Amino acid sequence: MMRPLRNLRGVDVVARPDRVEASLWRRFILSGQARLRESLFERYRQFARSLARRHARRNQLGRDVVEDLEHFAYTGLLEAIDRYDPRKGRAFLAFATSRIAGSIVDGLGRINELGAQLRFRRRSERERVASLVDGEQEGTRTAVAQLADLVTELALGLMMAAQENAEAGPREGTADNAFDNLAWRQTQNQLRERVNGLDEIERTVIRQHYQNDLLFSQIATMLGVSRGRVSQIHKAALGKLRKTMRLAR
Amino acid sequence: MTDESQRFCGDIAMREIVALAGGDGAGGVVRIDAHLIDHPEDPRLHFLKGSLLIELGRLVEAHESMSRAIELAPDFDIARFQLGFFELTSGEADRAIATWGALKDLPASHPLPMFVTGLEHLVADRFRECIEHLRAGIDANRDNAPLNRDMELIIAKCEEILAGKDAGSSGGPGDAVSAVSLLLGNRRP
Repeated sequence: MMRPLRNLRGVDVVARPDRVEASLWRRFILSGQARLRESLFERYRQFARSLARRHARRNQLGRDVVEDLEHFAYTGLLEAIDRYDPRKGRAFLAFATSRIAGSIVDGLGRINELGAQLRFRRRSERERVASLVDGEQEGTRTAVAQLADLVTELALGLMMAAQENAEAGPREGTADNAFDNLAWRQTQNQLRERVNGLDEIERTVIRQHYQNDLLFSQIATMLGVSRGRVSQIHKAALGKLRKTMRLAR
Repeated sequence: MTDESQRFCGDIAMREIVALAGGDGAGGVVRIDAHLIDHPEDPRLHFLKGSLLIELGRLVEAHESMSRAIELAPDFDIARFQLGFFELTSGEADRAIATWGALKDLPASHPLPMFVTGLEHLVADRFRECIEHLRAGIDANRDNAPLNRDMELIIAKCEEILAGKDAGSSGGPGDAVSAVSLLLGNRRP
């Protein structure tokens, strides 16, 4: 989207989108930096998502499968980003389309359509819970205190997911009176501010997991770290959010 | 180390390449690559190749070629300026400013440091100062008309932005601060 003229920055006067994109690729190829891989992923995420949705429409697949297809498309996109070489002269979207489509078809072949949505959701939720309970030392705190923290962290996760999905339509289970709606919005704003205050890598994990529904394994590929490390970062980030949200109350 | 007499491609061959590249960029790149086999350290070949690659949209390779040109000839001023400008238009302002660093050592009357100062003001959103320095550079530049045209386009855009800001600033109380800033900007020497 174009900025209004009066809000234009100096660099916008001369920046050309094709060159900005090429610069991103050049720096990524030279450095392999996770931050640049993430920028590339964000740049093409909507494209991967639209391929997944188109595939679902063409094959008359149920809505419940779409989320799984998107997840397969993201895997294909991440693979395409790592394998693409712009010096070979092929446009990225042309290169990536067949890989994303292949990933969707392969993924679909591995799952039972009816259980797809459920499996993805369950896997994602299992990852979350495993991440949060992992490393808890028995005996250091009471089981009730541990459970309370776990529930708070899971609730924070649900709030973030709801926040990211707000544009999709009305939320299920949200408050229906003006006061509660206001309180909900204020808490969400507070949460958004706290997320912005996290370390860069923590922000990336939280954003990609809750906003883009990426599994820990996919975020691990994106950041060039192990899946276990992503799980640790997720736990640390939610722990920080839990503490700061408590202080803020 | 390449022998100095072997380093540069001959003038006739250079003229031939330039003539070919004018009508056939891809053919020009192929011809340059052929000459680079014998003259791999000729910075002019790398610079020309980089310029053609930009036109062809092969932007990643273009940066490599232009960077190689100034690596081989750090005092190849126009190549350095164009590489920095390419980086600026690629959204890499910090890198462009670093690339241009050596041009600041040129005499103050040289157009390139004037253009660089103007573009640095642009990066810092100081549009009036940008226009002022780019105009001074255009006045000083008698040799490179296409470069002047590039700078004139930037001036036109800056003027458009300033006109937009001026129009916006008379729109209501919320713009009072920007109106004052513009006034202060006018008072600067």
